[in-house]
Amino acid sequence: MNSVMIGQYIPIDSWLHRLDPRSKCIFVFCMLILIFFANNVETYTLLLLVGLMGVALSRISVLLFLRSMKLIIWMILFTTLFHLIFTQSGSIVLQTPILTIYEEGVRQAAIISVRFILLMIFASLLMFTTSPIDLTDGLESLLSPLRRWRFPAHEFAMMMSIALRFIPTLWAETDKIIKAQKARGADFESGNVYRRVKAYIPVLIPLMISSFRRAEDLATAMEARGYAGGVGRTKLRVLSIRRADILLLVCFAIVATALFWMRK
Amino acid sequence: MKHIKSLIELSGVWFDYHPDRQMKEQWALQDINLTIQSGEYVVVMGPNGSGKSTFARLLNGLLIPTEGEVRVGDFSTSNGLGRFHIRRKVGMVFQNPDNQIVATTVRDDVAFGLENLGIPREEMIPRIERALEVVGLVGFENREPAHLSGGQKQRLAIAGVLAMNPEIIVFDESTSMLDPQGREEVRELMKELHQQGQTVIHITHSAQEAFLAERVIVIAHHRLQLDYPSRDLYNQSNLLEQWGLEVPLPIRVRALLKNQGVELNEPIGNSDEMVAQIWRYLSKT
Amino acid sequence: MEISFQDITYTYSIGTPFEHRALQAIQVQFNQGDYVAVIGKTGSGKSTLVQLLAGLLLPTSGVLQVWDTRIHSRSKKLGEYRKKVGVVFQYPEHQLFEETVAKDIGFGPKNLGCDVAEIEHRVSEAMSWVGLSPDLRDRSPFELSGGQMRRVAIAGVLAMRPDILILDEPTAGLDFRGQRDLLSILKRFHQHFGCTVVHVTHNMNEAAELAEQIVLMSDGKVIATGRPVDIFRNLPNLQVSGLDVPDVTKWIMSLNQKLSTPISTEIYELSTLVDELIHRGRRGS
Ligand SMILES: Nc1ncnc2c1ncn2[C@@H]1O[C@H](COP(=O)(O)OP(=O)(O)OP(=O)(O)O)[C@@H](O)[C@H]1O
Ligand SMILES: Nc1ncnc2c1ncn2[C@@H]1O[C@H](COP(=O)(O)OP(=O)(O)OP(=O)(O)O)[C@@H](O)[C@H]1O
Ligand SMILES: [Mg+2]
Ligand SMILES: [Mg+2]
Repeated sequence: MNSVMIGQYIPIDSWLHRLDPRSKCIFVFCMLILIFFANNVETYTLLLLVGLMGVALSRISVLLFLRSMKLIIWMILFTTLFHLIFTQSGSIVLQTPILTIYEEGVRQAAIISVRFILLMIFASLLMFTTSPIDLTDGLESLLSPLRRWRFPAHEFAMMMSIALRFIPTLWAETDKIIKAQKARGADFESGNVYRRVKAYIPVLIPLMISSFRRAEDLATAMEARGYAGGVGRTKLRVLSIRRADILLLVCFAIVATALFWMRK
Repeated sequence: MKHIKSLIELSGVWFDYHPDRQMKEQWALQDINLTIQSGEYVVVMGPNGSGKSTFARLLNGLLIPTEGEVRVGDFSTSNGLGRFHIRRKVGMVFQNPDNQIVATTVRDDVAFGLENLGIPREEMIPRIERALEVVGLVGFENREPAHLSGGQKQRLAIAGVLAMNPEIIVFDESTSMLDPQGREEVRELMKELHQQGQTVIHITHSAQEAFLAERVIVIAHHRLQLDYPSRDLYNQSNLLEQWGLEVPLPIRVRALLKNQGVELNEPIGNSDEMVAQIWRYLSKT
Repeated sequence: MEISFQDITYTYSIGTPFEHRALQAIQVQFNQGDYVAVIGKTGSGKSTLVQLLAGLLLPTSGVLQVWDTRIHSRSKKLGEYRKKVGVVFQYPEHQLFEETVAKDIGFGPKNLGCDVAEIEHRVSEAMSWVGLSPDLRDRSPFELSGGQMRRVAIAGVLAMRPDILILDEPTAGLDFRGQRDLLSILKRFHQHFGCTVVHVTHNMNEAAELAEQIVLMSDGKVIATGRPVDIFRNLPNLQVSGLDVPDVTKWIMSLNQKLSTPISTEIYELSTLVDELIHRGRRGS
């Protein structure tokens, strides 16, 4: 499997890569919230522009962003269709014997699609430019004030990082099983869509079994290498808020203000 | 007389993965009694499925004896606190590197053990660099472990344990996927660790590697079958054949010669002595 | 030549920052029915090369011609081709996926369209080829020892009676007897069915003993091909690529340092060496 998968860290160097994961997390989180406050063409355009600027600053090829979009294209198409068919208010845009499309339906469909795309851009920006380890360290540090109320911040972050670490493992495992079956004559390529999908079913069961085994192996490995919870643990990676991080948060404030000023 | 304490002590150890389902004669390890002193270099040989990896896992408390006790230093693997300390003393390189690699980049993986030990960051960085240098993975720091070749993964697994600088290192067939030069490097590494006073336990199928150690243990049919200083074993290493293990090449040559009626009876302790003996045989006649 | 790699390059994760060129300008040819050994340092591209041959990876550029199939970067529908090629992967225990040993071995024949009786026949036959006892048929393949899992994986591939049999380090991790057994199985299978065998190994003894042709790889390139004697004569070439001569050769070389008329270093079988020694001993007297 040669494509970069969804949410994979792309280890290059850029302004965005160098930012502290905490400020990136906060920024992206707040941007995701802002998306739901946008309510007209101007505000959506503003957010899209910010997203595109982010893409440019990350120095990651636009192709990779497009590739990660491929994953949600079905979701977008589906909800678009859903709105086109079932939203029935406003004036009629198109009338055919089987289907009537209303203006409100088109509007809703457009809004949902733009929101999905924005969500994906900002989420990819975070995942592409932050290594999973930085990400979980950042989260742990952001969540640590909650420890006062007995929130297990370290364990939560560890769980996150294991989940993230598991994505490539599962990917590799799937690859291995598919290769093993292909090598022994299983056919994933010919026939109609139905047959092709059906060919993948024998992959799923071994994949599940082997993921459980892998999870167990991982727990054993962590134990064997001296992991015993967060107490007394040090970190290779240090987090530090620098001028750029402050700049980022200031940017957010400006965008937010502009957005609230422009929205209806 | 002062009582000399062993570093590792297994007394009356029985173990099975499903002790309730299996008859005792079929348990994975049966009645193991063994002591290993600090600084020893021990090789463990044995056929597939005989219980070597199980033995290794008992040493660092990943498995706990069903009966009997495993002690390392002042601690027993049978209690939680003991295991906590033992894991810091005993580093283990697993048979299959995929089972050992924890992080998403090579550098972070080597760091993982150090972080668990609570090593300060300033000390961590040079230790990681050194470990990667020793195994020849410099330049791979940011690579994803899943994207390494079989042998590269095995090297990474070794680096992760080396960096922690444990008192005892167990290598479970850690050279199986390496090329001859890589094997040679790992053998050198073991020798070096031994000379520095660390305790090295090496599980291997290779006779050549076995006789580099000071002491050879054979586990077969789930029991301890043989425990010899290696220089005493060499001359009678034909013994190993009964368990399907590799006999050093010179000894095999001697046995084949004997089958053909040529008896060379001087005891030998290494390959060179056999070469000398053959040479004498060829020039005598 | 029935199998030819024509200027093949392979790059992992092309078009991403993870891009890694694993093979470069590969030009090699084999004849149908050859026993080919692929040797080379860790990470030199051996596994990548055999996965291309198995039709599991497509070349980034160049053409792989096998009989009348041309495989290139945009090849599709290789299903039929793959049915004629069997692969045993590095760490083949990962290759098992069915619930029982018999089902796992029967997976290939089933995909080939064999009927129930034929599948049954091939499964039993393959199990006896690799020396698996019939009472293991209904065991889960995950509850076996390392050596047994290896045999199941190999049986699963042999049961397909492939025209090209590929093995990626099949003996790594087997005990000595297991290694010898497997090598003799391979030899017999090769002679019996006349298939092409491509055998990746780090063990020079295996390469010397079995191969008719050796492919020596270094850094993603093929740096030499030829008969074992040609390859092992060129020591510098081997050492540059992290390899060595076979143990027998090394031992003969140390013997030769003392002999006025050296023994041929083209001997790879122990029994041949012993015959030579005895011959010399008698001639002397
Ligand atoms: N996770 C497990 N669950 C149940 N049985 C197991 C498990 N792991 C190993 N065994 C069994 O325990 C016995 C000893 O296995 P172990 O892995 O210690 O052998 P080994 O000497 O390391 O063999 P190898 O040379 O193949 O690595 C074998 O009979 C094996 O089938
Ligand atoms: N999935 C992958 N993604 C990126 N690079 C890879 C991937 N798999 C292998 N490589 C790289 O390609 C090169 C060749 O790998 P390959 O597995 O073919 O080596 P090999 O000769 O089989 O080595 P070994 O003897 O260690 O198994 C290595 O440098 C490896 O790091
Ligand atoms: Mg083992
Ligand atoms: Mg390989």
